[in-house]
Amino acid sequence: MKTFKGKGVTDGKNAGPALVTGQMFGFWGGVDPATGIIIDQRHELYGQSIKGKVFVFPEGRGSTVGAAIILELARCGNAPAAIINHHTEGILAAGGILADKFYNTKLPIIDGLEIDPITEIKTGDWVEVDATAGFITVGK
Amino acid sequence: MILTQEEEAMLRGDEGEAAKLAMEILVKVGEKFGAKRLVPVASAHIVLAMYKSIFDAGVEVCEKFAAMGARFRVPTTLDPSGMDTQKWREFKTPDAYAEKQLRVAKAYEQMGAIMSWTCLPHFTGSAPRFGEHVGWTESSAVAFINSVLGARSNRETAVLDVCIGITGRTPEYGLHLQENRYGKALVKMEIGGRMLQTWEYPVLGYFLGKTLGSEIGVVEGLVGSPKMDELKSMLAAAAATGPLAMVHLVGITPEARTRAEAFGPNHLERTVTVTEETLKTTRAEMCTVKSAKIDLVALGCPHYSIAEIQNVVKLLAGRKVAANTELWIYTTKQVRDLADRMGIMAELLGLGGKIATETCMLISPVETWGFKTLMTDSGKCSYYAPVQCKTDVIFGSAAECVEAAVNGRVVAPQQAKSRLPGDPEGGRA
Repeated sequence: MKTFKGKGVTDGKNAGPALVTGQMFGFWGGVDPATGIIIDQRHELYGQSIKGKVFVFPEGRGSTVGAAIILELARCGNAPAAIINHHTEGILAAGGILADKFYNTKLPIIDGLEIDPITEIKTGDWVEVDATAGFITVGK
Repeated sequence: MILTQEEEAMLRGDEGEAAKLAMEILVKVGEKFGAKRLVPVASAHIVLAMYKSIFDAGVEVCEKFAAMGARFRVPTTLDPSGMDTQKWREFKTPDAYAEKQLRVAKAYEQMGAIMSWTCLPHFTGSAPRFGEHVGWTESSAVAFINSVLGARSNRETAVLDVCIGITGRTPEYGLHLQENRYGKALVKMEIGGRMLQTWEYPVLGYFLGKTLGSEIGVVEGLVGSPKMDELKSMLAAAAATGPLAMVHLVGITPEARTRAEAFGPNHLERTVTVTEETLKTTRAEMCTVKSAKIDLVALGCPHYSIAEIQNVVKLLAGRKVAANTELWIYTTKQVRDLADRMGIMAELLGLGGKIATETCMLISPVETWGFKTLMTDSGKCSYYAPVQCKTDVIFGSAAECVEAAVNGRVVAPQQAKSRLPGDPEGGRA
């Protein structure tokens, strides 16, 4: 178990198995909110589910409707457990804040970690994200 | 965050429950991004508009704000609707879907929105001026108004856009601050000093989006004088494949009269070159199949201008669309009315084409038609169509798209010779 410091983007604490990609990810056209499964055929994680995962990707991309997809994921109970980025842009940050406000779903998001999460965290690792306190714990 | 007396009043609930909720959300987002204050905006643009993309959660949120008595404080425009606003039945929109879209429309009417239903409010009477702060969503619009008009907007997101319209404020961070608007990466055009052809602009955009990430690029070596429609198409593709909110186009972007001005105090962090090979490889990436029977030729992402529609009718040259192929052009109500007045619409209809109004192929239920392969001249559409339209996609020039519509399959355009490099009119088709 190792602990690494970062910058909490939204509030909350959650844990789950990691799902890691080095590719940017956009929620609109990226994931089906009714299932939590990645539907972007151009993405290396195509076919995998983000539901309950600690989803690790470098940064967001694409459509500004993104926060609506996060809200619908929350409404359907298919949101990721937490998100770790190199850099979190406004769309994702707002999505996390809105999920809490409208659907009482905590989506802890953290970025600016002291390690590179893409290379240091492996898919399947058990990761706890405490975005309120600003750190993550990685187990195996 | 330091709030003005007026903002404090909204946060207390003096201006009603909706303004209170909107202000709470904006303050929270602002705090997370280290904003020192909110900045008054001249306008808002809302992407929480089309049912296909906002789902039931989006409908619930709009209706919640409307029920709280929300009213927009600044001019607030709407992104396209999830269906043709007039002929939704003709376009096979399921009733249950249409009912949700109509509920969204009703909520925004109550809130006093400008019922614009377009991704191009800046082409239809709601353009921000140079240096003006606005709070917009629609990735293609945000990239355009920052990069071409020099207005200032972050890539705001769904729901936040509604909050911005209600309060007339947005957190002051990112592109609202001068120090964050300078370039970091140099993009050098190394294609022998030739002009890009019209269809190459979205190809370049597609490449820039996926290559630059959130880094602000400075594109040097664009030759000639790109048209507004070409820049529109290029920036829409760039904002689809990446999180691009602004790119400096030296000689075009008002804040990039020179390369030095675009970089300002920043040091060059990396250089990206665009070669003939880059364009060729990227174009190939934009197609999921090489050739096929074409079921739908879908143009107008972003919404087509009147000049682009005129061009299609000219390229058709009186030839009919193939029997088992559809040719649909998506545009605004204003442009459709112009096309109607000019007789272009009647001509297009007579040849078997259709104009769909105030929606587009990506956000309307095109999948109900069961098309297998779609062809488009839009880089943004080429990226999203496989998921949103559930089709294979082929990207081509408008001329190639028209040939495909007439022949029902991909064929070389008759105008091929005018698309040679260096021809000033080359590829203006």
